[in-house]
Amino acid sequence: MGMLLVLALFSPLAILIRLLTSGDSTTEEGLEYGQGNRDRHGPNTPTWLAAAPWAPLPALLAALFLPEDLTLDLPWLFLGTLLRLDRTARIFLALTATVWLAAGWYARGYLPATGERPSEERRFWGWFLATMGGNLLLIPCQDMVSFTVFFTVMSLSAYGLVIHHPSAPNRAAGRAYLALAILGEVVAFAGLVWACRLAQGEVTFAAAATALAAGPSRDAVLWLLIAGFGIKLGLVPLHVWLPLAHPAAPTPASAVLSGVIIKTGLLLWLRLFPWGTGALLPGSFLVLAGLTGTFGAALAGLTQTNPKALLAYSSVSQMGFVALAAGLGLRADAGSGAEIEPLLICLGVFTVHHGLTKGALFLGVGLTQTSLSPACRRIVMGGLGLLGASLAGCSLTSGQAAKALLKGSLPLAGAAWQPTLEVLVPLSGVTTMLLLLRFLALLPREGKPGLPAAPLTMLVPWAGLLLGMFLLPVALLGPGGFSPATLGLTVGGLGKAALPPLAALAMAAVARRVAPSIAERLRACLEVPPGDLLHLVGLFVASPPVPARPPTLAAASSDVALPFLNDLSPPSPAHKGVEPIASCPLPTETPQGSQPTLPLSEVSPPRCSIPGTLDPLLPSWGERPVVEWVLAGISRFEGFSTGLLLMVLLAAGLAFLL
Amino acid sequence: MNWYKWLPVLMIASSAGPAIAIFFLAEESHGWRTLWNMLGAVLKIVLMGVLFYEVHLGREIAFHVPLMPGLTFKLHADSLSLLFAGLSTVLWFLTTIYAIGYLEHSPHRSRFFGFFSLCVSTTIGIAMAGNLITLLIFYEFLSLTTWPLVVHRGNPTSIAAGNRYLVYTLGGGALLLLGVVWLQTLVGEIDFVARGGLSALEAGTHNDLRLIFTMLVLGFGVKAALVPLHGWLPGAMVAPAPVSALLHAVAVVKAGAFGIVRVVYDIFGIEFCERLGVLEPLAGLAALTILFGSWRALTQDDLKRRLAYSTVSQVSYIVLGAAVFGPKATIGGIVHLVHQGLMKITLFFCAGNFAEELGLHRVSELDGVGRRMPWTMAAFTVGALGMIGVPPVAGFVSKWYLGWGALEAGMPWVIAVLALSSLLNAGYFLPILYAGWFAERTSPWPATHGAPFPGTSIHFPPDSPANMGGPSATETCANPPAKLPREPLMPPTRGKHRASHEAGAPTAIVFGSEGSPSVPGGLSPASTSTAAWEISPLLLAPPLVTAGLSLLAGIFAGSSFSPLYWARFIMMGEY
Repeated sequence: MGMLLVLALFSPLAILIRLLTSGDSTTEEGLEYGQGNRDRHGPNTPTWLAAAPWAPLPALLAALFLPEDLTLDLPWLFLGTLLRLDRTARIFLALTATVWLAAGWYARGYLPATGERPSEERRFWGWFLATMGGNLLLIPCQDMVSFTVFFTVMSLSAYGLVIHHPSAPNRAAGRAYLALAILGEVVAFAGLVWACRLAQGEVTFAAAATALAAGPSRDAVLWLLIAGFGIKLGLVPLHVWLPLAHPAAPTPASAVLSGVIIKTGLLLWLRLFPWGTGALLPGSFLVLAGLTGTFGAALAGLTQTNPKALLAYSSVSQMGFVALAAGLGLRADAGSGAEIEPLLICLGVFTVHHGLTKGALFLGVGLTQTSLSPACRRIVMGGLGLLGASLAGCSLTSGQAAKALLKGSLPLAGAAWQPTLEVLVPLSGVTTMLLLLRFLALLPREGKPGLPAAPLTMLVPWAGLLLGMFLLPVALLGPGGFSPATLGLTVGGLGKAALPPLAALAMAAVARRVAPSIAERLRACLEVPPGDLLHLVGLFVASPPVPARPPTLAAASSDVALPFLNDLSPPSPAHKGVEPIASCPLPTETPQGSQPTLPLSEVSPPRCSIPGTLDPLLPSWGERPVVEWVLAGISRFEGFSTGLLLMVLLAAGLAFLL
Repeated sequence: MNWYKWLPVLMIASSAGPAIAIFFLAEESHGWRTLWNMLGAVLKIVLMGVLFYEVHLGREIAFHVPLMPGLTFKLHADSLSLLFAGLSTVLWFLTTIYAIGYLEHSPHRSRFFGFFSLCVSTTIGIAMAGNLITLLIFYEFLSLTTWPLVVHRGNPTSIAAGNRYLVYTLGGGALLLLGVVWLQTLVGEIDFVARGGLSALEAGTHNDLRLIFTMLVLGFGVKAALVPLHGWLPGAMVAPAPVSALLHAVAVVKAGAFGIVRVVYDIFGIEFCERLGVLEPLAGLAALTILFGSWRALTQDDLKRRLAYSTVSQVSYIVLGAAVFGPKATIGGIVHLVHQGLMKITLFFCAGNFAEELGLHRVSELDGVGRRMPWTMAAFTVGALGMIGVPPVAGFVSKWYLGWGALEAGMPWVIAVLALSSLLNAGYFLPILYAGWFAERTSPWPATHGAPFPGTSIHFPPDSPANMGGPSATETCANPPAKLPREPLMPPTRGKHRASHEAGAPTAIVFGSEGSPSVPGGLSPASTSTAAWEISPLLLAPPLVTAGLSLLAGIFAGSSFSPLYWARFIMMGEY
């Protein structure tokens, strides 16, 4: 039975191996003769391609049908591996497999439709399957080492997805992603080793969490874990890779990145955090960082012009809630009667809600770029509107349930913070809804010329996720579930939940009716380039002069590529018919993240075009005068002078002997 | 009379014997030389297996010859010596295969293989040495036998590097000799025993002991390339690839690290070292070396030099493990002896393959090499990720235990060193991986099948087996392998030829070699043929095996066949 679980989760990697070992003749012929790609999924479909979209299905079945708390102990694997399909793992596994399944089928239609060549498609599937394999396998891991292994497989493979179209901005995005991923790995490593040490060498999460709760260096470990896995989760201020990487990756990859991959950081937090032990400082930091993210990222997102970058900011904003809730759980003191359990359940529900919704939103972006029939387009736009309303916590959606549960656990914050949070959480619904309305406005009204209509393989997965979003509250109400009141499904609750989105709608309507040009000008003034804080770093790091705007990817890869989708640099103001940014004075009420707007457009992306180095920070690191001086001093010893040094030592030794 | 007491002697003889035989072979007797080499390598592996079995049973294996009163030549086999000897044996076997493929068409082969085998004998001697005197003898021998290999190419650069190498190692050896003599006068002859034998000395001698410790560590530190004694290592990279791979990644630098481990654990005893207060400075030196080596590696463009600085950095993990007081750090350091050897030899094999097949010596030339040589690049990737400490490759296990041990010893700063070093490692390895897998090739390869010795005047006619990638090219064309590189290759060069699809797929396309003086024009037999293997199997198999081993050592770390298991076994004796 246990092996069944492993087999199910291993299926993506098995297909990956098949892909790597298959001599795919269609690839070469397609390259050689430049044949059209339309009919290559005909009778000669390679086996790996036929199987690839199905890869997450066994995992989904395993999550649904394998018995709970199925345990598999493999002491010979890594440093002793323990797999268990507990409740958390089942929830995460079901969500992850669902989103991957949808994204896989979507990719099956999306890649040919956007004119990817077979070799590119093959490469995409390779990274896609590797990322999926890591993501699925890490979920049932109950020990730190195996979790880290699969987490790393997932993180590093996702790099291949981010730079799938290797244009200059995408490569820059990939560098930012990889640099932060590695940084996260290293910090997380330190945290995990420390936790392992506290647990006297036990690598299981259970032992480590217990030891952590009682351990003397709990806060130090917590900081490391918060930073290490907060990077994956998009915790402010470590979120900078999200707005860069999401637009860079192909749409199905963005969907999984934002839908499920960023949730893996939360999964580790759920497993390892010492909940309810009154960790005041890290907890408060998480709450504050969460609030900053929720509002700051929403405001920064409002100024975006690329819908995928906007969605990425929305993810940062939504992950702010996760950080907020996690912070509350850390601050709370179970000893004095605080109930942690509902909070953890709330986190689980929120994860599923956000995974389904954000996955569907990303998939929808790709749909609107194909040439849909008018009726179909209306349906898609309507669906995206509903998804946006769900994110904002509108009535009868999964968002409402998640928000209601979150509100239910606000008393954990204590008397000092609770009133503020009671106001801020509903208020975030307004900003979220505004953000999503802006998103809808940014979507193209008609498909790109030359793109065929979206095939069913793209529409059905999207519709499936949309349906899942509505089914979630129903499932929660099911046998053994919540009472309708807990989920806010009372008349009053429904009304309250509908208020923030309606307010946002009204605000947007007013802005549109009264002064659209002022709104646009304001937006242009405040525009935050994707990767906001990263550009701040650029101000302090002396980097070699780079072209302010790398050439847009144009169709280096293919003639039907989606430059719009992939262009990460902020579109030049001239295109928008707005005044150049430089002439626009900074208003006083500038949101926090956008102060560097002015210099940014000149310095912008500092992380481009340094050949051969991944992280331009590194070469310049050595150029700091003091470090340089010390290291250069040592490196001078590399010559024959060391021989001399030895001789001196010898003489000293001899003298001492005599 | 126990038969097994001769096992350590046989271990040494199994490569020293072939070495002597090879010295007397004529240059052309390729077959005999290969036979002797492989015979010695296989015999040594068999002996090694027997030894492991015997030691695991707990048998005492020691061999004594009195040299003079108070001086004994002693060989023994304990668990620690087996770890090092086992590593050398397995890697010697693989490197011999690699060297046969790499060097069989170059001059002075008998000299090369003779000294190569002698080096391994002395390495085994170092591993099996039972007391300091014996260790010292073999240590000096190692310096002398590696020198001919460093200067093998005979050009001015190699001679200069060789001279520097001699100055460093002989200086270190002299320092070591002083330390050993001093220790001998102080306490008489001492064998290597677990937990050390000096702790009973009265407090009055402690200052002397501290000084002796310093001398011994610095003496060994020359070969272990501790900063600032590492200057010889990057220069010694002019040696042929197999030498860099086995000696400079494994045997020589490990001999130094192994010596330090012996001094700390089996002469002084780790607990006594802790009391003397000599561990913290050693840990500081190791940490400095780790960071300094990584920092220097960042700026190297020459691939082998970058790897050399990486070695400087990585070998100090072993020293760090010895210098941090605590069983977990001990495990981490000792297991890194094996892990680093596996990963680094992989990297050097791959670097040799790039240079041999395509004439690539610099990191900036590696763009797109992953499409031309996917298997080699895959092996390189495993090695590089392992060096960074990415799980599940073996390097992660070492780092995990080192970090754990450091926390146990109350030295959290070591974690910071490990983390910073990982970041730096990522900084200099990931660009190579990026160039290999993702970057587009825009220029032709510098050379295809370049002569292994650019410094010499030997060239081969275009149709000789040397230019065809060895005897394999013709064989393998008839039997194309089932496995294919992931990406077909499409760089724009005029010498491009498409693989024949009927033959089932050879995709590794050989380019016309404008840069090679031996091939007139762009169309030579080498450029029209399509090699089914990206490089001769003799050169491809060793890195694949070592990459696989370093992966397996990480994945099955918890099993009882892993280096980690043996390192735990060693640790049991030391605390």
